[in-house]
Amino acid sequence: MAGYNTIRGLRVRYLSADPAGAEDGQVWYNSTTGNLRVDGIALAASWASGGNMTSARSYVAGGGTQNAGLGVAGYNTGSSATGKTEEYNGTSWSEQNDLGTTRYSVSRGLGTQTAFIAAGGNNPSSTPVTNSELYNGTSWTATNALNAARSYLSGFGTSGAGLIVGGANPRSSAVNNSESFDGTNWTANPATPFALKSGASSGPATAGVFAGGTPPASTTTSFEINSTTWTAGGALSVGRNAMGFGGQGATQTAAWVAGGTPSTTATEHYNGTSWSNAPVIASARSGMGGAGSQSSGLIFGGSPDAGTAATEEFTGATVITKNISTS
Amino acid sequence: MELFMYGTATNTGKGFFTHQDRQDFYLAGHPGNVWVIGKNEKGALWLAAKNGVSKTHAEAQAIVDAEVTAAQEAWDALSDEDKLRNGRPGPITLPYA
Repeated sequence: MAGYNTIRGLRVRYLSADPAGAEDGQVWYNSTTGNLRVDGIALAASWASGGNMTSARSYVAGGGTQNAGLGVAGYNTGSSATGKTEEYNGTSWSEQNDLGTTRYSVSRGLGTQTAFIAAGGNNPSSTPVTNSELYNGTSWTATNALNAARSYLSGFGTSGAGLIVGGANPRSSAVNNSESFDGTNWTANPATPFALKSGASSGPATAGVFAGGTPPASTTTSFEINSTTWTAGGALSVGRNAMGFGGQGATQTAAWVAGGTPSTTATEHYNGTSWSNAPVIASARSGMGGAGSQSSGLIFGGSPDAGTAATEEFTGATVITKNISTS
Repeated sequence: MELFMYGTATNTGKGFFTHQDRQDFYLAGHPGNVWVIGKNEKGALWLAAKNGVSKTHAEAQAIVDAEVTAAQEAWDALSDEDKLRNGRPGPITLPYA
């Protein structure tokens, strides 16, 4: 049998620490840990558990990235609507200043951890409102209000160039309008070719994709916006609403959705043309927050009605360094 | 050959299940902290490492059923307006093989 020296033309090196920039297939002995190590082992894409939120809730809005995420507002059966805000650093959540006006089902996906817009939503009496607030990484400041009250709405883009789409007012009636935000004012746009609430929004305000939503509960449609024009996009394999998605952290040609209602663990990726199946989340849920890109996503909170604190992190296929063992 | 085993374990957050775990064995979480785990050595070691409690399929299903029933009763007690927030929780059947 050929030895490593014959295959690689190298001896197994005896090192006190893992080498920087190891090549795929390189083997060495780590004398500090006492392990024989190899670099370049493929690890399939998957969802893994992340740190639990400090406050369990559903109907939570999300934004940012996997390592700089933001969770805003929500609903918990015990405490009803909550304006709690939490930041995620890739390991754990930390509580920040609350929204100025307590709401749930505010706009999801509009902005980053340090520049996020929470527009609309339901007040504690479950009535859709026009309130809009800007988070700057520390505190919330009221902005000018939406032109039309709504909840269960979806957001695209940034706090300086944002777009909110769909939603409902009253809660049972989905709307077909949208509004743009320039950093100061909300401006009503022409009607959208769909009337949906609780859909998934991904990408910038002028180059995004809106997927799923309700009614009906199992909507598979998606729509792309280019500049100000909406066109039909590819159909989801699993119709759903109230799912997790990347918002500003994703793009029109690299979007993702996970979970949702009807209850599912299915994840799908969009390439600008069609949706394809991706690794499933571990626990079915809906009404969760989402953040991040197609290769580095984040979901947190969600159903059942009382809310969960659980977080899952998606990491695309990668290569890692592992110990070599006989077990 | 049985494909799954069942247990209860509390999700402690980061590291509770890893990307490597998801590659090594099937894993699905359900209400009541019930986990369906692919039946292999690494799956069994994972449940033990998480201080999990092994359950039979019937025991695990009973826990999930109780959680679903409680959630359905809570949903049924909501006002018509509040029922609009989400649909009535449906039954969950754990895989058995």
